[in-house]
Amino acid sequence: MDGAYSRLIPIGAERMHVRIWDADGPTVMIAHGVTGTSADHTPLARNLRARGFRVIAPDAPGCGRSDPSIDPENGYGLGAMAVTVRRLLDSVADGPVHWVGASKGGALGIRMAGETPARIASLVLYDVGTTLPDAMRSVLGERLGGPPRFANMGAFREHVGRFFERAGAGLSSDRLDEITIGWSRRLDDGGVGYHYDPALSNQFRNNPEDFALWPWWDRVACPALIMRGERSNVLSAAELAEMAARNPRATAHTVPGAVHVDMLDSAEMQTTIIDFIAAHAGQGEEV
Amino acid sequence: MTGRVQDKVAVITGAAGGLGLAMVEALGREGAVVVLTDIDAARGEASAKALAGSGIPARFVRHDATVPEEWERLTANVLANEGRIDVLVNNAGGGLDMDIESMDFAHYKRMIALNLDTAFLGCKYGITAMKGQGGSIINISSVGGLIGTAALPAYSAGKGGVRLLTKCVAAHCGQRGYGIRVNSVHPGLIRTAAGVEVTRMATGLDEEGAVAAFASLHPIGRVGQPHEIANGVVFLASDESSFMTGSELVIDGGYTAV
Repeated sequence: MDGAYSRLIPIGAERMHVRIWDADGPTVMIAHGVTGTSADHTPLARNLRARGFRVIAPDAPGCGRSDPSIDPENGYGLGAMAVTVRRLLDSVADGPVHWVGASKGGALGIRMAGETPARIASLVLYDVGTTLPDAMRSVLGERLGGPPRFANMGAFREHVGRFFERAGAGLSSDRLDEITIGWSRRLDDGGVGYHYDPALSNQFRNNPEDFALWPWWDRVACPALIMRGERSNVLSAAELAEMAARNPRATAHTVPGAVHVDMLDSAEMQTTIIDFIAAHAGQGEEV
Repeated sequence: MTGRVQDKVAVITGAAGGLGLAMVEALGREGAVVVLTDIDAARGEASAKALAGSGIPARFVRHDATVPEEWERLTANVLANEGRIDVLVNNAGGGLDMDIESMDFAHYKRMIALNLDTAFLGCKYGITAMKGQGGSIINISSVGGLIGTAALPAYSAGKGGVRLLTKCVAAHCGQRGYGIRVNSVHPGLIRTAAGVEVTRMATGLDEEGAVAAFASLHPIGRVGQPHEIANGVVFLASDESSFMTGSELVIDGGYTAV
């Protein structure tokens, strides 16, 4: 599959699935959103690889083909995930990585860069801020805790397509196929369901510190590109401005017309991201 | 936002609870990137999580400060994750002491290991990590490192050793031009679980009676609180103490003044 290969990396008693696109250049880690998978941002991964970057894209714990967390109450909080990711990086990366994170993957990047700065060479965030409104937190918690079931792949595909339409994001038919496949799993009764562990919802109740990330953001010292969708309902323009104001090494970028749910497919977004990483890839690293 | 130790990487040993945890919190509130270590992994992880919950990023590493190999592992771990060490607080120590006739040699050696070896190893490995860029090493001694009591011979031998070790290491770092300052802190009796236990054993009284008895020995009229020691550690960790090295910061409510 386009030069990528998959591995199951042991992390304690569990395994994490990670897709790897090998290259000689610096390593970029792509961290997907809360109910996403390592396949979400494949087009971006391919283009990074084409520019010489080595790309690693894991399925987060409880997502895709990675094992669920052994601690469903707290394992999906950013703190526990950071511990797991550091162990993953010990296995699959040499030295600091450039981090690209969407939504929860971005929040995890803020946590990593603020907590263990030597691990992160640069940070690209798509549509994630340091806070999340309480109302949105409880809605997401409820929705994630009770994922729906479908009779077959066609029904699930329709559901995923409606999800993107309601979010205001357009997807081509081919991309809808790819994302449907990535987000699905076969159920015992022969039907189809979402791939993720419903216990992911526990983060919203048990880890309030994950939605108050200013202490970590204030410690981020690496170059950071903070991107926001112009029509985002998660990251306000005001919060983006404050994040940029607090961090002299941060560059703010608003993507015209974009919404929170975005696979980072557009040529404009990918150019912005890849050029940013390339501009910072020479700093303190061996290429 | 700029705290008094903003962006300094601070490692604090023996910090799962008590004075050490208070130091982690104080340094963290002033902007440091903090790593707390302790031999008690469960307590350390719980403390790190609680700190994160109160808005202080903190990472826990399980670490036995009496073992050289564990110091090698710790410094490599922090350099790989936080990238450098700016502040090292050698706080691991304590233990339960007894008079010289009651104590056997093995227990004495354990007390010396817990209170003095930990500081020696911390200085040795801390210097290796810091000497390229400078920093501040803070060795937690005690009023027991300044004056003697019949009940605390091993503890005081250890803590007294920390006082002089500090001065020698400060001289060495100065002569070598490392930019590393080394100072000792000497707390009086502080209201922590360990501190209270020492007073109970020394007086044979219950907790309140023991604390009251010790409070009366402090001219200031009370025993201290953990944050009052942590404040001193923040000062020594920060550039505010830039001309201090080889010296003793006594925070004891006047205990050793009389």
